[in-house]
Amino acid sequence: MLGDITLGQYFPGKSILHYMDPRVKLVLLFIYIIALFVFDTYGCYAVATVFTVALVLLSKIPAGMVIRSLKPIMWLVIISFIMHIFSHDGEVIFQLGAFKATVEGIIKGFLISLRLLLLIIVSSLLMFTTSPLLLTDALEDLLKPLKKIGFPAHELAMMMTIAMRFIPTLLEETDKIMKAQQARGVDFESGNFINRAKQMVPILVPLFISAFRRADELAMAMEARCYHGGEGRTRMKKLLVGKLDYICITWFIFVIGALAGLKIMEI
Amino acid sequence: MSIILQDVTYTYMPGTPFERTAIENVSIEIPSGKITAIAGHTGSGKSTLIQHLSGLLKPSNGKVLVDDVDINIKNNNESKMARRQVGMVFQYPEQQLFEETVEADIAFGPRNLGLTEEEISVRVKEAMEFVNLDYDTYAKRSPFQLSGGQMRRVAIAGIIAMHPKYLVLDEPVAGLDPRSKEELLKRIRKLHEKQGITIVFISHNMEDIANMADKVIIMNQGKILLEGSPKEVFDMSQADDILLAGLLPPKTAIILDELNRGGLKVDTSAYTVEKGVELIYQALKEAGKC
Repeated sequence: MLGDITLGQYFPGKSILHYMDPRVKLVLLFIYIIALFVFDTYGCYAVATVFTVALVLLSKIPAGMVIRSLKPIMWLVIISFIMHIFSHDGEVIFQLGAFKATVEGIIKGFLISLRLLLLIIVSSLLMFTTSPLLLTDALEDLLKPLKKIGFPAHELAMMMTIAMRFIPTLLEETDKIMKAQQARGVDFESGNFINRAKQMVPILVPLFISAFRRADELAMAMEARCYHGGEGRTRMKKLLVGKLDYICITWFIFVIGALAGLKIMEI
Repeated sequence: MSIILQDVTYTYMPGTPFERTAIENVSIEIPSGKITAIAGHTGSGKSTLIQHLSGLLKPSNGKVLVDDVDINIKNNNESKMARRQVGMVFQYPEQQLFEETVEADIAFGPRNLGLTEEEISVRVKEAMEFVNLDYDTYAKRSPFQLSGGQMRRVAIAGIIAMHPKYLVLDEPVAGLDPRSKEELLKRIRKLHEKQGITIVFISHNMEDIANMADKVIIMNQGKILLEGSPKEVFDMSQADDILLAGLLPPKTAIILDELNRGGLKVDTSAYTVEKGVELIYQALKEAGKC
């Protein structure tokens, strides 16, 4: 049942991608995603694909895991592919009523799908190689300048950390409660929509109660350890941009440069 | 008549890097009309094992038979009825209460069985009596106003009201104060004696097991380590195995063993406090020391 869902995709490992500073990773990812949209010639797609595959190999994440992370958006990719097939003018292959499938459409659809897939792969690589804790730390650090205009960077990061920390816990709890109610004769697998909705009550009520209880206990525990917001809080493990990061940034600039070059030459 | 597990293996998240085999090739029999205790270190697979007894987990490999019926056949009425024979009380069952009143919560299970309202109300009263909750006082209260021990009794009543032939309890007394604990164990034993319900329970406490169980199963790392009557399992010659599984034999057995090694000729077959005291007294008398 629910126990088979993996959430919080972090996959511990010892690769270059794992050791990079999370802030650097976040910024580079951001730039790379923009680059994927801006640089759209065939040559650019070829280089971007090779680069992305190289990143996957570099991260030492099993390919199966990466492919599995594509599953949720597979339908989006397929639908956008089909839409593109029928929505471009050009050499007609076959016709379905008023819709014309064209060669240009297929090519365009393929490229758009490829772009989407690359996008998801690099984003999930970030999730695979960075622990949620580091990720929120990085986010907090990057958003720090916005504090001057009153943006609650620390609070936001803390909320995200707590939320992520409790997702697996709550999932486990849901699974447990579902089983317990099943043991009391609830049948989750059959019945019409209304019946199924009704069967959510015996799950949601205990789940909410326990979530509130946990929130209360956590708040108490944080206060007991003198938590009073981000003001003046120091870290044991400071994020440091090191030699490895500079090397990676240099490589990244090369790749972006190559993409830009290809775009300018329209290859 | 019994629950039989044949070569049951269960793997969590197969085909992922998080794959973990919780129990492996486990074959046991839960004899009908007896109290069976399952003990084991955290992560030894006890909870996974007992979830198979009522079909909440389906074995990756192997079979579960309740009264000779395979309980994991899909869309099979006989299989479904067999599953209903087994009532399951999870760890901290009070966390699964959700209704507005105690009565409604206990009635939830019987109602899902499709019983008539009269029958349900009879069963609720009877179940509340069994767990020692006064109907007139508690029936209309919200379960969330009760104490932890009372909430747990409400939750257990909710299962008892379904009239299972087998009652499976996962650490029924965890987190209770000593008095509530004694009381609850007494009630469970009474349920067994009066209605002949087969009891299966998980416990870390060897004293409780020694006092209650007819059969003891000790698990370690997903496998059955020891199995048999308390007398066989708590024989001190096997103490090393029990220690290996991260458990301690009953204190009485340890004390008798130590006395014997210290030179007092005492029969070491006892594992309950009462019997232990008797044997020590006897040994001292024979040695002429009192």
